[in-house]
Amino acid sequence: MNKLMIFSLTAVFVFTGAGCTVVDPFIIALGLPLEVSVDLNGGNSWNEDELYVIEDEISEVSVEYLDDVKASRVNDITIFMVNPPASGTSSGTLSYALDGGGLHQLAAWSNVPFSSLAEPGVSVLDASVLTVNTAARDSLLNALQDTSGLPFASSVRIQTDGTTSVNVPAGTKIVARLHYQVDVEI
Amino acid sequence: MNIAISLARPIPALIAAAFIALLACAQAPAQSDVENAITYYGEDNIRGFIQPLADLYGADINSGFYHSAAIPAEGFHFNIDFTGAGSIVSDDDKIFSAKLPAGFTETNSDQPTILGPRASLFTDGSGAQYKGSDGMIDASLFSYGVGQVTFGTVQGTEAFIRFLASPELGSGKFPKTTLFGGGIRHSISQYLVEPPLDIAVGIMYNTMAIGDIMDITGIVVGAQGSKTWDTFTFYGGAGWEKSTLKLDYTSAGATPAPVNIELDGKNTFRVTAGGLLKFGVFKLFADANIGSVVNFSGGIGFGN
Repeated sequence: MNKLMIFSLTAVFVFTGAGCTVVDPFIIALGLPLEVSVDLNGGNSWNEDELYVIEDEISEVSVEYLDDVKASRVNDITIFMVNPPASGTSSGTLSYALDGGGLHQLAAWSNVPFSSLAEPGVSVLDASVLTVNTAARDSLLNALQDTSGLPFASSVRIQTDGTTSVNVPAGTKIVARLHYQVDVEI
Repeated sequence: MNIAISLARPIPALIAAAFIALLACAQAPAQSDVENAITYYGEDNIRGFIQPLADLYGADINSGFYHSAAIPAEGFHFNIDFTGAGSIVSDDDKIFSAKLPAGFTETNSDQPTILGPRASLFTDGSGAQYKGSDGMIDASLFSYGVGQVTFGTVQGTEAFIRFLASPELGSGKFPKTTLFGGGIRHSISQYLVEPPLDIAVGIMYNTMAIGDIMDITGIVVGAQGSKTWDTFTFYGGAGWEKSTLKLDYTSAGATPAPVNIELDGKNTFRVTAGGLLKFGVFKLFADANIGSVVNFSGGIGFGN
């Protein structure tokens, strides 16, 4: 009986553990949105920029991840409005600079209805609404994407300016977001 | 009773060892690396990535709470069971159709779930890229273990409580997991004259916390029947069930936002068939559960 009990307990052990293991290591894809978010604050124009150091963004998740970055990529680049008024249009530009260099205009838009810019907004990958500088876009993707680790560029500055056809109420924002993603092996 | 006393020494150590092992697959993401993966996953795709946990854990926690429908009308009865339950992982549990970023020409790409393989890179015509996280658990049978104490009976009614607690595992990859559950069962055959088999009905509720951001609840209501020949009991039943995985966290990144998601497990009905061997105070049991999820449970127990 003693042996039977031990066998049974072992069988339960095997049954619950044998078919199920933790993958070691595995890769998690961290989404790191890099963005300029401008509160128009009742006005009708903006001109803002934000500087992001890629390693700092990863460190904010975990410093330990820095040594285990296996790839980095850009998912999308979007422009959208938060709480846009019912009617009106917007015109503006989106630019970027890498590693302290000069600004490159990535996209421009003119008289785009607020309704088209309502979240999730428009993508710089899709040139139907925006005028996209494809050469600048390709350069940005090449600099920020790497299939084996951290990107070639260590920092990116995102800048946007523009106007709206009407004064917008407080709480209306315009956001330019670079959807960045980093693979970390853990 | 002498048997139980003579075996008392090896059992605690075995139980402790077995329990640690039983819980190996009950570990899931915590504010650990895996939880980070979840909180940094876009809300569009976290549902597909996590859904198998809702399906398979949901089926697991609703399993293995009875091994007979024979419930005495009165008298003191006490049982301790150690049960393992596992759900078969199908190919559909390993891959989901991930929503690609809005600017991509294609709208979807097959990516691994938390139980899936390595993720694959998808490149848009523009050059932008997307990839999900790798699968984190390699499982053909998604399993967990639980302890259950059953006591009674009063007017043919018994109650039971279940408990599971495990520490973080995998050097912090996976968080601690705790489960509390319980239920009652009531004998129907006590109202029948010489029934051909024992019949009972029961209800069970479980709640499992996986780390800080995931909770799974399950409820099952069903009827059971059993027939005993000497030391062997054949038992079975049917039950309606519901399980829900709740994700509650603040998304990480430049614009943190609260994320509250509920995912229902796909198992809503099950038919159970199994067998119980009883030698004195020692029990050995196993059963199969057929529903949208195919699940097996088995274990050992002690009691009268």
